Amino acid sequence: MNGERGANKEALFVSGHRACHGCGLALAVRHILKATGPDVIVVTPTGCLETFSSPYGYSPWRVPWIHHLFENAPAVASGIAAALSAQKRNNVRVVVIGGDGSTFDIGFGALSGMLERGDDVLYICTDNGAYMNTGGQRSGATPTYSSTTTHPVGRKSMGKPQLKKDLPAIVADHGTPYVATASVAYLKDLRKKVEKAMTYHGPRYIQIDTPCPSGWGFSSELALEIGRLGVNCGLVPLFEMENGSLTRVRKIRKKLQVTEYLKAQSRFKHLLQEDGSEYLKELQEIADQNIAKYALITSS
Amino acid sequence: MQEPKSASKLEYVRGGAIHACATSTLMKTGAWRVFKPVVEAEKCKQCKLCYWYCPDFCIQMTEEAIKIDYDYCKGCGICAAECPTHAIVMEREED
Repeated sequence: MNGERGANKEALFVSGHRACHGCGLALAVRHILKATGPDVIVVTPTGCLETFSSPYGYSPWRVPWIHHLFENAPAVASGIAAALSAQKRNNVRVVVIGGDGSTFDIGFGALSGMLERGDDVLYICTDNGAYMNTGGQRSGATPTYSSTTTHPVGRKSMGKPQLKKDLPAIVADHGTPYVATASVAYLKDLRKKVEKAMTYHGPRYIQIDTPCPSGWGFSSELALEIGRLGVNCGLVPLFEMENGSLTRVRKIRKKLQVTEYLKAQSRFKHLLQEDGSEYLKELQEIADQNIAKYALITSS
Repeated sequence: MQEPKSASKLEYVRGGAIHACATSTLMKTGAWRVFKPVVEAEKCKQCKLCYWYCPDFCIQMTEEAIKIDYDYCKGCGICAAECPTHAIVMEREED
């Protein structure tokens, strides 16, 4: 193709997409498609990915791709999987790549239905912790005490007071054969998990932590560093669950305090001021609970 | 699928369907750039980390060193920040 060379020649998701500088999501999509191979149909609910990959006439996709509404992407994916099954085209698989808004909040009912029916769909949630393409409103995935445009920090508010929804556990409780969490900061781990998920049949769920420079408030070159800090402080546990039981976790080699992760982002900057210390303690407790729950540190 | 040759030849089809694949390469996002990554070839160890980490997929591997595709590079600086041998430096674009 004219004007296309090097890294774009073989890729299934190419340059020229309109994601922000340093977008973790664009990077994740490229590696997801490298792991799945070309024989997939991608379904994308409304969200950042849909917005930056579909200005009219300029598509970065080289696999069949369909955009659907916030609330029904899993249902659309189920329909495509059923059609492929009726045609006996078992070599083509269906992948949903949706944001946290559609997965945790708006499309949750359809997701739950898809999991309960046991449709052969790989659901990937790229979690950037808010509705970023509309300006950063809170979602069910927004971490506790993060400042968002609908939970702004002020005299009587320290950001979102609720806990982040534990969606991997909810999905695993549906009897889903494969549930995993990953981070773009650990790309080999991410690719291995997607490859592993492709070997299963039935519903599968992977949640990927994708740092968002404009929404989280950090300089674009730090995107992967922030991802690593999140994993190593315990706020973003990376694990795999097969048939409802925890089978593998990514251990933390050197544990960091949550302040290391929080101070790099402007959405948490209010916690580092004088009156934020008790809220900081609560976040440290959440991280410590994660570490204990998933045994993220090898006891020696 | 037909493959478009230039932006002026993009055909808009009935129903707004996407008429070809990988057409976004016609959109040169390099115009967004403020800081430009420059490779110092003698420091490059060809570890491919920048190739893995570039969110705009601009890094090409050649025999001697890596090459950056400035047509699409938005200048996010991830390659320079992640390079273990500091072989990539960010320089401000000239106007």
